[in-house]
Amino acid sequence: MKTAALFITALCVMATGMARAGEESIRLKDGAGSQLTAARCVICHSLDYIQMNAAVMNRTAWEKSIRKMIDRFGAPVSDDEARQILDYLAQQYSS
Amino acid sequence: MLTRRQVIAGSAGSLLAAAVDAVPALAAAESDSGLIALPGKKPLIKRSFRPPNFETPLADLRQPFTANEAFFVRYHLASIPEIDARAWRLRIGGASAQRPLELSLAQLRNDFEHVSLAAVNQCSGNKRGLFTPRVPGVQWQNGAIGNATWTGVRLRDVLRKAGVRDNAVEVVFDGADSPLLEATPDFAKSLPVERALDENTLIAFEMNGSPLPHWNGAPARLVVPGWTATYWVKHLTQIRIEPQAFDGFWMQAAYRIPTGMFPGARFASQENRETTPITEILVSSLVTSHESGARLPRGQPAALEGWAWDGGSGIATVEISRDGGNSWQAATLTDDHGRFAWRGFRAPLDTSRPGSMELRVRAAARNGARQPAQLTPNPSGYHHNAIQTLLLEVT
Repeated sequence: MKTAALFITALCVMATGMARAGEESIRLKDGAGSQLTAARCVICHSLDYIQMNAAVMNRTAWEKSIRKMIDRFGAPVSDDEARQILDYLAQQYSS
Repeated sequence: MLTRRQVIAGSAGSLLAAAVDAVPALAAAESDSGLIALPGKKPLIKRSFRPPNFETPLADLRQPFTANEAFFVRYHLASIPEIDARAWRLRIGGASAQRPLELSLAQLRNDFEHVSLAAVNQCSGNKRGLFTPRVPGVQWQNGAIGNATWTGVRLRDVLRKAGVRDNAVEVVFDGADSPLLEATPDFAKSLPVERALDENTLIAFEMNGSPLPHWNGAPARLVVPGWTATYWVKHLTQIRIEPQAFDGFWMQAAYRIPTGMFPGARFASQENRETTPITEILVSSLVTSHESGARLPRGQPAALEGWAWDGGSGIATVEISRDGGNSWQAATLTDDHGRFAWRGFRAPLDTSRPGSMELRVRAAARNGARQPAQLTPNPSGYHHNAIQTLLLEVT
């Protein structure tokens, strides 16, 4: 029991003493479509890809990117969902 | 009762170590500098968590050989298994293989002659984040590059054991990393058969004298000196010798440049009128001693230092301009670890008078190629090898 308690303490120290950074810390901007966008994109990659490319992207570029994800990489996204995701990304993550 | 500090300092040390081992592979730790460490790596510049893309900070590019723990990490697909080296097998086959075979790591190590060579490993998209106009993709700055000593066996020795038929056109390489969705194209690459049979193309199991780090392709990866890192397939599991061009996504749709736009080896079996695969690294250089904007104390000796490299012809000269590119003075070439490694350079800086100085650095290769003044725009943001300009201030 003592060993187990120490183990748990050690895990707590890990969690508090060292800033854990991982993709779960990434939050997309609020807006219509944010949850759908996060839910679909995160199937294959972390959401920092969206943030990383925002400065490079506009609506046309996002449309091309979303089509590539669906047509080339097989992302399970319906046409209706693709429109909502495009509206969200064009609104929130375009330069 | 133990305080938290005592727990760390005392008897729980081994438990803490056990807990670290138990952290899932993609939980990373953020350092004070904002850099993030993957397990087994030191803190690096995070570009993306999953798939993991991590860039080497400039401070870790100052050594002739880039430390394994600081070496950049680049993946396309997010399923990256931890491989048990004892259970790992490399299968060699394909329609142009006469005697398909399977090798364990012990057989690979014991049955073939060992070769070590120093070579630059550079991502095709290194410096993509510095393109103007900007280009989508992983926004690398200067650190999707490293220089290491790679130890392994010659790919051609392994291919010859399998028997290469006369009709062979390409050799295809697949690694253990795989996509999360069945519909996503697996990451596989091919080489022209003559490049696969080149004496410098290796199947490497060591990097800088240690086993390959997990994030750099353990237990064995392809090493294609002089060619961009997209061909250096990690976690190698399968090699196929084939009589026709490989039609995989990562050859026919990705890693391509406009045909005829850049110099470098041609990949005829994959070329079409519009585009062709990126192949050899173009001549380039990087100042590692200073970042643009650095201040130099007046009267203190200072020197500009860094590395220059190309696709394997070797570096002929590195020159510095202090007048906007009108005149150029030769820098001293230093570390020389072979034609595939990067070459050191050094040029003293005059710090006797206060004020700003604009410096340009350009390298020329032994094949006559020279860094261009302007980058060559291309849709995927490859081959950024334009002359670097730095502004330094003597104060």
